[in-house]
Amino acid sequence: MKNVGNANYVQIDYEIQTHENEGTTILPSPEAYRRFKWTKEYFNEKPKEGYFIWARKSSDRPLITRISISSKNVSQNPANLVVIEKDVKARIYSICNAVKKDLCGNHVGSSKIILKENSRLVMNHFHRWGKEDRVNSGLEIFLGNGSEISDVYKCLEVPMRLNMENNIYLEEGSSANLVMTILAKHGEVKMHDSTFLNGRGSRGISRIRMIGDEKSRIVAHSRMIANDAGTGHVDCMGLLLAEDSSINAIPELVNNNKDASLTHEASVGKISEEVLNYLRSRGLTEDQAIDLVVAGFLGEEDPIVIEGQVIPLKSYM
Amino acid sequence: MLEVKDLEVIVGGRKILDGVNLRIDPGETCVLLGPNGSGKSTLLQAIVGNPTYQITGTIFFKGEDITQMPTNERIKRGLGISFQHPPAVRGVKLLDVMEEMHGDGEKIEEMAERMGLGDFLERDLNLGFSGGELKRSEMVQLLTLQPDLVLLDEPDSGVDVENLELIGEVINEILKRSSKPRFRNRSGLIITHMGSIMQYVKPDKGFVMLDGKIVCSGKPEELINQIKKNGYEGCMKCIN
Repeated sequence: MKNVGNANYVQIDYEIQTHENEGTTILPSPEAYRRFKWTKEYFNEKPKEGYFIWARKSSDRPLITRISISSKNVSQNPANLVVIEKDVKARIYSICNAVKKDLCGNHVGSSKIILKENSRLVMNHFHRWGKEDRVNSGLEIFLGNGSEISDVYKCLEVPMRLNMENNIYLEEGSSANLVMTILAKHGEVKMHDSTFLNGRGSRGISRIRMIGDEKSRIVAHSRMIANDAGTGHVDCMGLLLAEDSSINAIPELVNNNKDASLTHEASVGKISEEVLNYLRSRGLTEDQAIDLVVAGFLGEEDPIVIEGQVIPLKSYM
Repeated sequence: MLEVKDLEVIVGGRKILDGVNLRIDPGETCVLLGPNGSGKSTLLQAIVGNPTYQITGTIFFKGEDITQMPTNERIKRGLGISFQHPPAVRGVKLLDVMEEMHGDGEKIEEMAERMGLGDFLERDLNLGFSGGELKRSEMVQLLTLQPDLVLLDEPDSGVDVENLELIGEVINEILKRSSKPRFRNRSGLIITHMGSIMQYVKPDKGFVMLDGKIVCSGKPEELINQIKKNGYEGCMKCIN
């Protein structure tokens, strides 16, 4: 198996390769489960596949994981565990994809991220699926006191069915910034995320960006729950590009503490005629104006940089 | 440069312009005066080709009938407009739009710096901009386009004196007003409510619009002085 772009964990169908970075242990999850007894408290059951990342030392070099479906009717069930030790800073790019459009794959992934006291993680997920795939993904993030996570998820080619559930638990003084961007075309997407502000001074932001193109349906339920004196913001924005698409955005605020502050904003609609007219008045055609607004809505691609070298994301896909 | 003949415009089922006739020659800069709701902005939007408008009559630009032409084609042919209230475009940066207008990267930065917008290139277009910043952003986009006919919708509204002076300077530059009249080849149509911009840009001709019609034309200074003295009610009495 060819390892592209120095990825640290590569799984293509069921075949696996790992490459460690200095100060970080990277193993297939079943092996970590065997070797480190303490991981049993995090894995819900004995894992069959998936990656284990244990960052014990800060590093400028990002970690890269890739789980791909490349053959017909593959069914993957990765259970991933990421542990970032106290005061450690890390960056992870996590790629999941089907290399062809018609593989009828099934990907059921569950991930757990543990950030210990004052640690920091920047995590970027890039997903790209085929039209016949089915994907279920569960993510739990536990933030220790004073820790921080920036978790950016982007999927611009959705499978036939995508179900996602994210739960984030924040302790005192920790912060989580979650950004999820979905472009759905010929697919059904259900996203549920809940952010629990369980510690004083915790801060949570959940931003959802959705574009509904031809024959697509998106349901996004984003909850912010304050159990202690923290601040939280939920922001759901949806853009409908086709008549046969629909978006159901449900921002929800649950405040169980009088000293907590929660806010939300939400909007779903088509690109405003006023904006299109404005951009046309700058010499853009209708299609160019729409492309520009859509690209702006989806946000810039965050390039993968290893030791100063920019590696195009497509080389991992 | 521009000739508008018997222009009628219906917006949302309501007739806003009712038989407008207007001519602007090459090198000529005109002001369009009129009370709120008289149809001034609608006229500019009709000239630039707002696709939501129902239009009858004809618009000629550089001798070509552009009445049915899409907006981007009109811009390609040398039309340019600055909006009174440009919309915020979330996610699209000022730089993105200027690059789409085929602006040279270095020149874009240079122009933005000059307009005090160097830090705004990477910001979402018009989002959270102050009144002065909006106007300067419109001007920097026109500087990129370098149009032959500039349509300016109230460039002097909501701006302070310093901004107004800078905006006036840029309008003069685009219109090449420092050249001798016979060497000027660019034209302008400026909507102004109180004529503040006329302290910095000296137009050649003025028009007054009331109830969707151009009812009067003349020397700009004389028109504005009359309006300041007698209001638009005075215009009504004058034409009746």
